[in-house]
Amino acid sequence: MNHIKSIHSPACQIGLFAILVQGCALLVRNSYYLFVLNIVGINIIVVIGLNLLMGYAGQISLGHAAFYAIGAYLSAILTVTYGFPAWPTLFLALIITAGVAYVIGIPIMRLEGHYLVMATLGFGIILYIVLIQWDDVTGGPSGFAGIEPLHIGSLTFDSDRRFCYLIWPCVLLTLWGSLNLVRSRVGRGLMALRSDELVASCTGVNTEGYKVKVFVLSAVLASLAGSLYAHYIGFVSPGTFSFFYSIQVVTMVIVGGLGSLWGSVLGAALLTVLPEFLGIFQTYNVLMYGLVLMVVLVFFPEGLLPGLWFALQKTHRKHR
Amino acid sequence: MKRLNRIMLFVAMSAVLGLSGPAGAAEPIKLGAFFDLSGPAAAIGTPTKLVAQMVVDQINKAGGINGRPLKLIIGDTEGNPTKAVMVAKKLIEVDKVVALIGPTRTGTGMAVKMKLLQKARVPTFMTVGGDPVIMEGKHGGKNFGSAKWVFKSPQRSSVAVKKILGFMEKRGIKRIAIATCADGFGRDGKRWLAKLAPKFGIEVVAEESFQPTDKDMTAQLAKIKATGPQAIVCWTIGPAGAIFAKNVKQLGITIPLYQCHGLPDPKYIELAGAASEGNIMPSTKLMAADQLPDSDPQKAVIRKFIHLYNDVYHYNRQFPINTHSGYAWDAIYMVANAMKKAGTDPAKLRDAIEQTKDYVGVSGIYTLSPKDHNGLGTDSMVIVQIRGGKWKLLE
Repeated sequence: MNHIKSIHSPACQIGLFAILVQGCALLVRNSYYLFVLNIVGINIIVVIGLNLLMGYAGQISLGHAAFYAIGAYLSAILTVTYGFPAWPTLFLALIITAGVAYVIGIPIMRLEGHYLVMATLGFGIILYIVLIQWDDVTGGPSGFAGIEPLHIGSLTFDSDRRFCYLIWPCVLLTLWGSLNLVRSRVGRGLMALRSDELVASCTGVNTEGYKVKVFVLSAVLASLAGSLYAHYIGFVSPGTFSFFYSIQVVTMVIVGGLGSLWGSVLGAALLTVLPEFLGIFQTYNVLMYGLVLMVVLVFFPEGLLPGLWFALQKTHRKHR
Repeated sequence: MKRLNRIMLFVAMSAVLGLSGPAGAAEPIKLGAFFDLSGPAAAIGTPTKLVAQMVVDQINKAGGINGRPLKLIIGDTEGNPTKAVMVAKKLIEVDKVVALIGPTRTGTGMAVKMKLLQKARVPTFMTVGGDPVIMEGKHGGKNFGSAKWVFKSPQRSSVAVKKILGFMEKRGIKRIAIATCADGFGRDGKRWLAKLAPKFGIEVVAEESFQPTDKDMTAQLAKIKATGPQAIVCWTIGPAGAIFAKNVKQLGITIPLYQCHGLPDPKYIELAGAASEGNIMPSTKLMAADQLPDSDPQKAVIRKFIHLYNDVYHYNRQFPINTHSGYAWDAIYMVANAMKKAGTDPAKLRDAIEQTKDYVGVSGIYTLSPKDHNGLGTDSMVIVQIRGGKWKLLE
């Protein structure tokens, strides 16, 4: 039985996943596919963070593009305009985002259901307007250009392949940390919170504290992804951080499966890559995209990965 | 066995040669085109794509590029900068296009310029309105990188501003009020109006701004009215301009209203209705094609464009011609003309595009240079006035 158990340990799963990604990266010769792989990685970090909030704490955020934007714009503005070094700026951005998320998290997390959604949505839109209006600092609608790539010593992550070796370790670390988090006491507390807040608080879970902390963690991960994005593309503009991005990451979480972190990996990868393959449908690609989403949600309402897993177990049982 | 190996080798080699070598004269030249086909600017991107398909069709019917047909490969930026980079990268790396046309807006254009066109050597002719895509080096603490591989076909904002101010100077207008939209386009106009007005002996007596989604600008207009200007200049694209014109009429303001070069569009007359009567604006010659003098060198090409657009391809059923319709036509023709001269080698093609001289297009007569990757001056625009729901050529 031991070998089966070891497959279920996060470290082992992540090891296998790392080998898979590494294999992909080595096999791929064309830098376009590496670019897509990198964007998938960036999205996975945001989606995992959001899934911790949505799937485990049961709180919906429609404002995650804002935290993604804070990371990206802080890295951009501080390094280019003020000449800060890149890595310390990235960590500074994480701390500032954590502060912002904490301050707005305390009042927002007292809200429930639709009101919480409205509040996060409002925050996202406010930040988007700030990005557009404050053009002396942010570059306004035409964006902010000239961000240098990150480097460690003499190794500069300036090509798609090199960035791949930066972003994917970050993804794997995020995944590993999150998988361990949800298996810990905190994770069980969060799941209790999601099923029934009252019962959770009665059994000694500090529900309010947990909610705010998960919200902060989720925002910090989005900020990390944002900083990496800014250094990778070398340019940020409000278009990347609009309301539609918030919707997109929520969709990735739901398609992958609420409360399933591996599902988030699948959801982010699928929805980032899918439009690329739907190009063959030309004018109808948006229609096909919608159709795929509908099919997934109708047949796998609990998400793609949990749904597939469930179906697999069912057929397995039948055969026995 | 040895013989078999040799045969295999021969087959393999011929297959490789067949794939990589020139397989006859009819092998198409690939041209990448990427626009906002979905998302907020789809109403601009979709007609641009249609015009691009029309132009490529025309070039191929006329024998293609030195006997080789052009093949248009289309991508959708969804109005998202990340997606735009992804699409452009696919066109460059997977489809191996020789040149790129597009995207539609400044934000997506800049992302592609900064991420891809600093290193990748693919000539790109953009159809975006904003100037940052062809700006180089540092401006106001911001780095715009290199624009060596980037060109754009729509006029610069400063050209439209000069056209308006020059016209006002001739009409003896000395005091103007400006009302600009608080988006990138509006702010660009405000910056140029404030900077250039003194050079034409014109004083800006009031500066007001509004949001692109505002439903009422009477407050701004009341302030403007109090300063007693001789004319009002409004700078915005989209429905806000029509609301502004309606408010002007509602407040009984009788001084002339000047709109910017983004509004010559049948949609504007439809939205503003009777309030559009008498509005003056700079436009490409496309809006007043039938009134151009026969001596105008652009008249023939504009007529041809309108005939193809309306009567042959019937795009006007969905997207009536507006002042921007010709930009994709000009972009593709300039790239195609350069290809005829210099072939498909990226560096030679880029140089040939940069050397474009006196190309007579729909949107103007283009003369490009290493310092000017747009190539249009104030002579590429006309001043039109709306009279009885029609565009009347004033100058």
